This record gives sequence, C-alpha cells and structure tokens, in this order.
Amino acid sequence: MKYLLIILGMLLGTLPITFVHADDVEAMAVQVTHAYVNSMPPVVKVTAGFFELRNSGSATITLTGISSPQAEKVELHRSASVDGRMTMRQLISLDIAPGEKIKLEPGGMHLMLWGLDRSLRPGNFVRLTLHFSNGQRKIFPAELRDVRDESSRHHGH
Amino acid sequence: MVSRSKVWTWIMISICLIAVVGGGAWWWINSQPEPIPQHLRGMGGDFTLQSADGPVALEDFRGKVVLVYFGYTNCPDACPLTMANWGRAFNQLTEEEQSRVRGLLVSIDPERDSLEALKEYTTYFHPNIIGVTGSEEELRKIVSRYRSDFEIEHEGNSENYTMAHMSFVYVIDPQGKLRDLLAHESLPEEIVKSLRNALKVRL
Repeated sequence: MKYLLIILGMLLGTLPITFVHADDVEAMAVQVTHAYVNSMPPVVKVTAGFFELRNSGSATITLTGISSPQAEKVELHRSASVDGRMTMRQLISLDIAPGEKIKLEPGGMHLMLWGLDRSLRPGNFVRLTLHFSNGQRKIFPAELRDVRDESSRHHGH
Repeated sequence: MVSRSKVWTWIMISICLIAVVGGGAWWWINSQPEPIPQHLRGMGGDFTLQSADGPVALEDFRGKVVLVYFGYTNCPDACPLTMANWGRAFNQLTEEEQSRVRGLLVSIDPERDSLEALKEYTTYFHPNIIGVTGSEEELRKIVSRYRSDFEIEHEGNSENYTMAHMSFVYVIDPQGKLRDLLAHESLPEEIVKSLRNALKVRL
C-alpha cells in the first residue's frame, strides 16, 4: 500500500511536467515558410491553406493535427489528379523524416479550413498550430490572400 | 533592249504584288482557327440548366466562346484556382473580345450549391462567369456526354463530403462545337490563347 502511494505520488508529481511537455513545447526543429490561406467569396464555407515545412531535427516527426483559433476545423488533405480526375483524401497523420521538406501546394497536399473567421480580410493573418505526435507544436501565421490573385500552377500528379 | 526605267517599274510592281498576296495569305492563315482535334469530335453538346437568373442553355451562347467546367463551390483547391484563372484570362482580353466570351461553372453539387450561392461565387471571380446546376440525373447525362464523371465521397461527416471529379476546362466555339480541352490548372495566358483561337470561328 505504501509503495503504491509512493508510485501514485510520483506519477501525480510528473503530471504537470508531462502536461507542459505535451502542450507547450515549441517544435524548434520545424521551420514553416510560405504560409498562406486563400480568401474566398463569403458563400463558401471551406477554403484551402498552404505552407512549406522542414524538419531540421535528427528524428522523424509525425504531424497529427492542425488547429486555428480562427477556424472551426482544420484538416490536412491530399488532392491527386489522375488522368484529369481530381480526388481528395484526408491525411490523418504525416511523417516528416529528418531533413525532409514537405510542400503543401495547390493540386497536392493542402489544409482544409472550415468556418474561417468572416472578419478576416486579405492581408490579415490566420494563426495556425501544428500538433506533433511527440507533444510538440508549431504556431505560425499564414497570410490571407485573395484567391483571385492566385496564379500558381498545380503540381498534383 | 528594255529600258532601265521599265525594269524598275516591273520590279516595283512585283514587290507590290508579293506584298499584297503574302499579306493576304498571312491574314487568311491567321484568321483561320486551328482544326478541332480528332479526339474531341462528337464530344460535348448542348444542355440546359438553371441559374439564379433563370434557365441557361448552351445554345443561348451561339456566336460566343464558352468555357465550361464541372465543379462546386465547396471545392477548396482546384475549382477556385480554375475560376481565378478564368477571371484573369477574361481581364486580359479586349472589351470587344470580352463581350464574346462567357464562363459556365456547372455545379455537380446541387444539394449544397443553391443558385444564389452559385451566382455570388461565380461573379466574385468575373461577371462573365455564370453558375448553373440541375438535378443529379440531368448532370450525370451532361457529364457523360462530355466524357467526364463525378462521384460523391463521404468521409464520415455527411456535411463535409467532397467530390471526385474530372477536372478539364471545355472550350466551346461560337458554333457550339467543342474546340479545345484545357487542363484545369491552365494559366491565364494559355486560356487566352485558346479563347482567341476559338473566337476565329464564325457562327
């Protein structure tokens, strides 16, 4: 019984630390660049976001979720165009090897954002948080861009 | 012996003739559209669907070049870029050319795309783009004539389903014939080139 209490006490004692590690550790080995979200006509409930992500650490990291305080829901999807047929699948998780660079771009992998804050205007920033399986996270701003100015060619094949 | 001035006269006449004939031939060649590729013949055809401003038939646009795309407003990736590229292409045309081109976004998602929402969506990209849709049965018939198809993909949540769809832009010439097929990611410059080629077709 005494041992059990000690073990329980030890476990409880580590809890706050575990929490800190689980939720508040910035993923230092992850660099995010070229982040933007498409601004859409008001009738559209969903929009797409893109960025480039590099894992400069020495271990593989696994992206397990994305969130934003300015959107109801954010998911990672992959579009593919096979013989002109466009399909889209949700990615539940994504492994990024050490040194690997992941590019989200039109026609390929992209973020889906539902219910984006209507008060945001092109030029404003959307705050995005990437959640990794090791408990780390990465917070970064993505510029809201008018989709009509978008001219990049799709690369999804 | 021919006089020197006479030789010069003939040379001048010859140069003028070559210029006129060459210029004429050049103008004629440029005014002719490229022929319809073999694989596009017999594909496509007229259809009538609903818009926020009443029924819209492809036939209504004889004399104009029409871009047709099968998409939907809640498509986050391919569709808005396609619409954005159409809008940019249209803006690169002269006013006279713009009066002779239209875009038709055929929504394959009538369940979620109301006619009003479609109108708001298309005019956001360009006033010359019209949003139309119909019943699923009507849409399936049209889509198969354009050798395209679509499929609703539910992913647990029934409200946030996505559609798998063929992603081509169809260029319909002023005679109502399918003249060109563009990849949906075609850049505005490529769209302008195809539109100008189709505009050469006389009604």
